[in-house]
Amino acid sequence: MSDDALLEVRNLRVDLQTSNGTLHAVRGIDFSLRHGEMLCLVGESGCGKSITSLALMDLLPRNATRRADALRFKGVDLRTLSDPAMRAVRGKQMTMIFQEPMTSLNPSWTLGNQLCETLRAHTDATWAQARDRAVLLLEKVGIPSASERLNQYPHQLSGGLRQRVMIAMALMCGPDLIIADEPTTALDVTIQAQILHLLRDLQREFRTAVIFITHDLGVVARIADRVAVMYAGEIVETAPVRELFERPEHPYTRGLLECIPVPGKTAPGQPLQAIPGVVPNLVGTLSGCAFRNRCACAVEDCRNAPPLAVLRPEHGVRCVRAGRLSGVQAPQPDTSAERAECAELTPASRLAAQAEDDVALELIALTKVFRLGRGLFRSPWEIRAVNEVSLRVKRGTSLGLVGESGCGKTTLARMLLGLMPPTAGSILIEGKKIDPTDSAGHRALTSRMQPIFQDPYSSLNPRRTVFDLVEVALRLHKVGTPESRRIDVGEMLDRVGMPTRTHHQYPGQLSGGQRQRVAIARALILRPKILICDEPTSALDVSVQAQILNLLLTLKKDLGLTYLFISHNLSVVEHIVDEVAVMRGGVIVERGDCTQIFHAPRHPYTRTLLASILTPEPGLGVPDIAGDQETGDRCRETENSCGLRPEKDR
Amino acid sequence: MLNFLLQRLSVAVAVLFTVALIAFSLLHLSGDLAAAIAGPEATVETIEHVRHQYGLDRPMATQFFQWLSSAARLDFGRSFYFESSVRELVWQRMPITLNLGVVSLLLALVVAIPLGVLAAVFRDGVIDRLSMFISVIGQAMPNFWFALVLVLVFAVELKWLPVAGNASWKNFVLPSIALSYHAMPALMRLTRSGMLDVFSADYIRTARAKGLPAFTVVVKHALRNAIIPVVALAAVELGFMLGGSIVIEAIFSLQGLGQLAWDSIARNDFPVVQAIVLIIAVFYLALSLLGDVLSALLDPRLRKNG
Repeated sequence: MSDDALLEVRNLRVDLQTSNGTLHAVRGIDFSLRHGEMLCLVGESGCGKSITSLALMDLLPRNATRRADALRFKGVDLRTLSDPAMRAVRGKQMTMIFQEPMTSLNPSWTLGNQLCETLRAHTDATWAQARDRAVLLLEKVGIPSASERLNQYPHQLSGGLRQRVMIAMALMCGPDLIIADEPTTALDVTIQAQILHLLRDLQREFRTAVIFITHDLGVVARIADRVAVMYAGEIVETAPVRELFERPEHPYTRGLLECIPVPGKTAPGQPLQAIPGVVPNLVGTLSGCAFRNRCACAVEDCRNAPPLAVLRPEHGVRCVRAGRLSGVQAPQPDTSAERAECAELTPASRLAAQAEDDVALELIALTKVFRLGRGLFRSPWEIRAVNEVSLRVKRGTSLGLVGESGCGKTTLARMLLGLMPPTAGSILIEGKKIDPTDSAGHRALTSRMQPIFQDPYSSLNPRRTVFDLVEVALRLHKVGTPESRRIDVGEMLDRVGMPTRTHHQYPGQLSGGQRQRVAIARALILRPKILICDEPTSALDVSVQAQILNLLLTLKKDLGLTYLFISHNLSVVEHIVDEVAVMRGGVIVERGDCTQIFHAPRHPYTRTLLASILTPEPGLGVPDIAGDQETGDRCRETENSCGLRPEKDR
Repeated sequence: MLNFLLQRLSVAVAVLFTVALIAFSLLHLSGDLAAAIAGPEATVETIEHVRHQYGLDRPMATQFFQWLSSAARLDFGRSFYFESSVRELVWQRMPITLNLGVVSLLLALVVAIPLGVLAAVFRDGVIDRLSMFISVIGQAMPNFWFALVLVLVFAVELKWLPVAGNASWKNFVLPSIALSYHAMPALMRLTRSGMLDVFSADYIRTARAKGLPAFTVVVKHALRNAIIPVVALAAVELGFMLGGSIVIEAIFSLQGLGQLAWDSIARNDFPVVQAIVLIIAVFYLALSLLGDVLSALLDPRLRKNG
């Protein structure tokens, strides 16, 4: 152990007892952290990165057991500490920031109380001293009129402000280490950039070490000093940030870097380099390299567990072929066919497709007004969630609708799908006006237009098999005979890449990507011409996201589909759509050709949005998004949380 | 908040009117009141005389609104049996019932909340199983039977406490235990399930990550949020206790409202019965309202605008 190491972890293992057996969530990881260093733990969901952080804090759930050869923090072995001694470390020397700012603060206590109690629990500071420090830190994290905020409750603040309060709370006792578990994942892109900027500044100012956990390589590239890539409970590669992005060694790291669309680098419309397959099940024993079933470079030797080979100083790789793969281009058995198929879908052909003056979907001054706050002594007030939005989507093209939470994009989608009656305006499909609220109109609408929703975990009925889920739409619309339906459904499931053995499984037995494939098959079985994709990949891991985006691109070409693609992820939008409409506060602030929007944006808001995209390029740092953006938007955001979203608050 | 209160208040008034109407109608539909008051050996003339004397020959609607308007002025008429003012009668008996109800509720809360918290903290442990056992018995056992068992054991056999009457505080011990044991299980289980819900909340993880002592995490952060529905239920339970004390008061011969209601029903003393029904209804509504207000005060998110 080197002298300047703050934290030293050797062979950390965490097992979770589940009803299916023992799940080996973390399978022997080693890393160390220096004072004032920012280490990013990056990996997909289920790779064990959050469990690692909870194991360090000794906050594991009841069904978990922790073992390690060493867990040294400031020279003290955390394994030997009693509960009270560990509590004295936790919150004072080692603090944590969580993913969900909306639910991580206690709704019943004021911010001041929650900030001060941390300091009071660990030191003998008086309330007055604690308040002074709280005010100081709230100002540091950029919260205006800090002393008045102390008497406010969490629900009075927007998500971005709450996350700032969480950061201030983590700094109250002047910790040596902050563990930040996906602190910006639940936030909008512009707010994300601000929070990252803040964290980076504070980390430098206070010389605090940070373990930053994320799945987003763009974030990693911009803030990390050193990166550890996790896969299936192991660290498969660790290196300084520049080295990792410029000379990735492990096939998994390389796959991760290749499967994300990057504006300006990946060619729009071209299939992405998806990592085939899914993360292995960690229940039971796993021998050899965990990645070998998805690895294009796997050899016989991979059946033996590879050690962590140190290639260059500070660059470790857990791969038997470490150091011999750089320069070797991984063969691409899965995507080469798709690549050939999509080759003709270059930007030129996309423009050609647009030239046909053939409008698939048209919205004319579509408006939705929510009336709120009817009361005895209060006149009703209203929110124009969607305000006279007019759009045209030409047949065979895709329109991307982008904007941050609360901008009205989901409300717009709901009106299109007939889930919500519009207040005013009309919807035209292939030139015919459709009233989605009457049953004939709704039937006409569902046969031409189908949705794909964000969360494949909750949008599929868990009590129906994959086959039933897809077939039910045909049955409801009385299409074909049972025999013809069986054939149709089988073909459609093959088309979306669902193997035959999965056709009679239940959604609970499928992975997220497979579920989203089923959702796509279900949407396509009625042969609609238009798909409304509402954040179809934002609940998925990046490697799976690439698979689904490739599938959507192939289907669009094969079936001549028209997409309305709603997303907050601009990189994904740029990759998949022909035209973009930017939405803010219920209106379209800018729309245009994809290239124009991304390269020559006119509206300032579009520019802000584009500036917030974090491409995985180390050395660029976090963009400085004007700080008043958020505070100025606070009223809008708090209103949204109580009114603009009639559905479940995310 | 004001908006919310006014809304609830107007609903309460409507409910109260309905209760009064039903109570009035039921009594008048239960037979010829004049004949009942005059007694089994009265002649036709006597019955007619009674009918006229008590105003029972006037139209139903007139009688109802007259009764209602005097009730609003807290004048419930005169008891047929005691020949005294119903208001005074009720006034004398009310403290006993209120005492019994409040003491029983406090007893139930004092047992239920700590037990519920402990059961949640040591989930599936000995305390959890024991408290579940106790609460299942409490819910399954009729409380008059439990009251009789208490009397047999503590009053008749051990002679620690008096059997009946309302002479001293000792007379209230057994009835309070009997009444509270009936309300305790629901409060206990609501506390337990509320605590378990809150324990999985993100802000509890935050509190633990801050290194706060376990007691602070459980009481300040968890119980503070889990208690909100318990408070609302406790207010409603008190209403149930006031209405449901009839049986317990009868067993222990406590001269409370319940006992009075019981006797008055047997004696066809309908002004008293009507008054008690109305008063219990007022209590019940006031307590549910209080429960709502308390939970709004406890939850800053509800406090906001109402």
